[in-house]
Amino acid sequence: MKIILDTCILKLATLPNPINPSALIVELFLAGDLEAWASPAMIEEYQEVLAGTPELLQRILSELELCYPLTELAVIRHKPDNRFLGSALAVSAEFIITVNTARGHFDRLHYQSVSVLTPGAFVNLPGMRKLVQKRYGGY
Amino acid sequence: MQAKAIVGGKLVSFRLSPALTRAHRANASRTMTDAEAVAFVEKKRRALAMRRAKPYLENHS
Repeated sequence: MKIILDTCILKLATLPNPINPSALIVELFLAGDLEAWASPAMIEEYQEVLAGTPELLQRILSELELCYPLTELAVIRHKPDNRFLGSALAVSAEFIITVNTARGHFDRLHYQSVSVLTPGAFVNLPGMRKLVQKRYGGY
Repeated sequence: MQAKAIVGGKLVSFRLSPALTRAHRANASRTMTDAEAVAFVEKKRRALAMRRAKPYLENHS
C-alpha cells in the first residue's frame, strides 16, 4: 500500500500520547508493511522536524521510497502542503495520512485518486485492521 | 516499550521498535494534540525557510 506521511504524523509518532495511531503507522512502515514515499523537499522537512530523534530519522530515511515529482502544484491554499500532494499524485499513492484537515490545508477527502485520512481512520480501514491483527495477534 | 491505538473498536497494544522507543524516552512526559503537532511543524517550516532565505536577506539589506 503506497502512502504519503505528512510530517505531523512523524512528530506525533515520537510522542508518548496515550492513544497513538501515528506510532502504529510508523511501526508498520518500519516493519515493511506499508510503502511510504517522499520527495527531497519532504525529506528536508522530515529532517527538520525529527532533528531531536536522529536514530528514528535514520531508520525512516532508510525505509522511504524516494520520488521526484516533475510538477509543482498549486491546488492546496497552504503552499507547503502541495509538495505532499504532488508526491502522492506522482507515485499514485492511495493515501495521504495527516491530521491537518483544516480549511486551506488537506480539506478535501480526495484529490483525484488519492484519499486523505487521519491516522485514526487509516488504521481502521479493513485492510489495515487485518494487517494489525496479523502482526499483533488477536489483540 | 509499548504504545496503544484503537483498531476496530478495540485497544491494541504494540511493541515499539528500538528507534521509536528511544524517541518516546527522549520525549517522556511530553504529549501533543493534533493541533499542537501541526503548529510545531509549521514553526519548523518557517525556521527552515528563514534559514534558506538568510544569505539572500543578508546580501540585500
